[in-house]
Amino acid sequence: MVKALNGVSLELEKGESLGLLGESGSGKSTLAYAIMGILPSNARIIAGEILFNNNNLLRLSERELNTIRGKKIALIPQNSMSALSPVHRIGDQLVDILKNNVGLSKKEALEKIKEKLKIARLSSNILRMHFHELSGGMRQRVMIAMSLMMDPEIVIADEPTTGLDVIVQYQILRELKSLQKNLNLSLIVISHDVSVIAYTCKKVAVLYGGSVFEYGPSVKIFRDSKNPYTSLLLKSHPDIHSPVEKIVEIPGSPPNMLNPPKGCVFHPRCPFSKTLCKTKQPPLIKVGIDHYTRCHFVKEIFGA
Amino acid sequence: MKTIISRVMNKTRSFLKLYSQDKIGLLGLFLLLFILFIAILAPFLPLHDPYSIKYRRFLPISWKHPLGTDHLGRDVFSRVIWGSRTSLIVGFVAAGISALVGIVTGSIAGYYGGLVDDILSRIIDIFLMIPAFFLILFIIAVYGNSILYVMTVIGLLTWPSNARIMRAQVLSLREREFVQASLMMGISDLRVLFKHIIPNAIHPVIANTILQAANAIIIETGISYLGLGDPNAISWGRMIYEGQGYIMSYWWISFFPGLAIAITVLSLYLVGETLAKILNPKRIEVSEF
Amino acid sequence: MDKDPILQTIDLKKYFPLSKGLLLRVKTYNRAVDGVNLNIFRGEIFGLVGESGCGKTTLGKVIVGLEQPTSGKVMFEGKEISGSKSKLDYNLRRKIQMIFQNPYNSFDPRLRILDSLAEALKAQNVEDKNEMLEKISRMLENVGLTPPEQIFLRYPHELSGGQLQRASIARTLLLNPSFIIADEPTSMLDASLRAGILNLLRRLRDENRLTIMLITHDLSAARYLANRIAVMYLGKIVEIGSAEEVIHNPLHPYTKALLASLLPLDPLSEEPEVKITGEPRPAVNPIGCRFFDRCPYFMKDKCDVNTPELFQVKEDHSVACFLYK
Repeated sequence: MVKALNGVSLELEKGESLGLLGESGSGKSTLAYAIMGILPSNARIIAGEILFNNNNLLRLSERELNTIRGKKIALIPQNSMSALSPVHRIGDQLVDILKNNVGLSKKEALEKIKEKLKIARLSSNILRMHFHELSGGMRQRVMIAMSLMMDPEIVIADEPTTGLDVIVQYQILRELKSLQKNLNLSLIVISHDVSVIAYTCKKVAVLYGGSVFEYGPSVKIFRDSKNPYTSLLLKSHPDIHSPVEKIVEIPGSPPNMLNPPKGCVFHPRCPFSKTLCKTKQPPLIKVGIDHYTRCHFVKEIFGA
Repeated sequence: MKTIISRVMNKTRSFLKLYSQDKIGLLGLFLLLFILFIAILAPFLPLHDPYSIKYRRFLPISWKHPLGTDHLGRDVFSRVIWGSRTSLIVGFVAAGISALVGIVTGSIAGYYGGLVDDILSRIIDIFLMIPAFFLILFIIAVYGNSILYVMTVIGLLTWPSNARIMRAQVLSLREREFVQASLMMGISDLRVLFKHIIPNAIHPVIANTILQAANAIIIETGISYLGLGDPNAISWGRMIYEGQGYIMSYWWISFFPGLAIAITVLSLYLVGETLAKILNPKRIEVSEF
Repeated sequence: MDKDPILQTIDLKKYFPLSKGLLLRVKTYNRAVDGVNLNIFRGEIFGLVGESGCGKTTLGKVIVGLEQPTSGKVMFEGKEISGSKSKLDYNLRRKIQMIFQNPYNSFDPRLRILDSLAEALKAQNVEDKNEMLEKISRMLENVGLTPPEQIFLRYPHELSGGQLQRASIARTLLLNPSFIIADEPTSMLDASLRAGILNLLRRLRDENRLTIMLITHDLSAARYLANRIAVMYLGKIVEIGSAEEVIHNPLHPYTKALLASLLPLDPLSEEPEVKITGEPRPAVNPIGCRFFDRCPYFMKDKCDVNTPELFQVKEDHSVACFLYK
């Protein structure tokens, strides 16, 4: 049994951008799928709530969930490269999706599609093309347009830059950021890439081994982290803008979630770990305004 | 020696654990093992002589003759048991030949590509176009019908399906980085083929071979049913052929061999399908076999 | 760093035929490597940087011998190593090795790590089992996989990406190469494991005097490791120079855009200024600069007519762009 998420509490305000930063096994994708209600059939949510506008999503029936999924909360999935069928034209597929899921007529659907394509900076010409004919960046833009179809309140972007080249990656993220501002969207960005989160999100939750390790404004977390994992992660990144100094290595590997370490999940790799870390999981403690961290020895490691 | 044995035992144990997740496949496996068991033990079982014609003809099911006797007075029960040896040998020899030729051809075509692949692929296509059954009938009718012949001919005409599978596997494995890494060490093409590519490619071929064994049995049955099989071998197909004239009155002569074929082929199919599922190279556990 | 190049590519080209017209005559090509001249010096880490489709991986494969060039030569230690297989000197070839992007594909999934590494020794005719065990254990420790006994009995899928990539490096080192091409060695690894691999490569250069060609799209990794950097675009080298020069003084508009696109780790940094749009579009019959359709400094009747060649602007900085001619 894999304990994918172990007591994760987060808040997203309207119009805010929240980043979920984590590596494999951190649970970040599981969290996103739980919110969307699309966890695999062998997944069990054994405790907790997901409150959307004060409604617990976990208590809703499948039918009620369908009025929210894709409409009020939208997902830009991770592997968008094969999200649409290669055999049919993009326009036909998008129209079909709107007709079947929302009951729009073909005319209404096309209007909406064209409107959203424009927002995603795509020309309507692509409606006549096939999905695989588009470049990586354009495919991702189609995914963005699709997620915005029903004017959602929340958009979850799961690894929005995987497989994209450096320059396209920057363009997509920049557009995502401005979309969020212009449409007053609440955005959740999931990524393993620190710079993606630093650029796009105002608030960050650093996930590791199924727990939140640090949580707070990105300005605080990226410039003044109070968590060993986060600060080691940041120091292990070669930064082009600073002089070349030896980057820090983090020993060991991300935890095997079938048999995670006892106590603090990070202790086998943490240079500061003591006996307490091996036996007791540290609680989340407040270290600043809206800034929380999970570590037994914050004061000793980071000072007052 | 001890470590090899324990290694083999561990692999068998984990294989069986994986296999037993599919209950129907497990049934097929037990059936097959049972049939194999009695086929091997046939000479030691207390059976009537399957060739002897000393009994009364057309005897119905009784304690002395559990499945009756046929039109020549031979005991049907012992003939069915002995017939299992023939069918299994036909099945596995034919499938074995087919697998051998198919693996070699498919590997060469897939690995070397280019003109070699073009030529071999066209040969495969031609073979696949030929209605194998009729070709086999033709060869048997012209060149003789001993059971050995039948097995070999079936094997030599059904290899293309294995070749196709093998070729597809080799084509994709050839590009994998571990193959390229071995080539860069200076290891020859042939060694890489035998040490890395074939062992990783062979899994779907194993499953296919089991299915081909079932296929071979069916073909042999068909040939015998048409009267073109080996009259000296004890073959279920031949028994059906011999009993078909009496089907209305002395039905047991054809029925029981027919039932035996059905059960054997079914068990082979079940095992083959289950193997195909669990030996799917995409599964990580496969690498341990 | 030596003055003689250990590796040279001379007008190296690798074209892949695309469509065939009637009569099977080839009509268009994918010009993956389109005339590349490189000199790599012993003991340096040479960074080859570019986005996907620029041809950097193909270039690596041609150098290592996994692909044959369409034209041009690869010279290693003064001898030609490209060309028909029959002329190859295997001992020379073995000195150039490659580390691949996906560590899980780099190992035969059916073999234990010990057996995979032993293959490298057997290929050099080492027979003695004890000697092999000793060498493999030392090498695993050398790459940071300790204790070795816990690693070499495992199967590839039982190790993490970082461990497996180190094992891949170990296997390569057992062959005693003098030149290693690392093709995107960290792009498939988790973030917390990348620094380890980068530092390992650095150590191999500093302590073992290994020459490494680092192929990557990650400019920050290239800057951290490389002595010199070459930027590649649609089959051509557009800029080449010392790492500090290329990173802090980029000349080519494409290099500038690449550097500007690098997202800073500091959320309070200024918004990057990237002046180009679109994506690389390989032309059917390319004339002129490969970059002109996206270049903000495009000069009509110059950039679309002639192809700029690499031109030395400073002692250790060359660029292929008409802005500087």
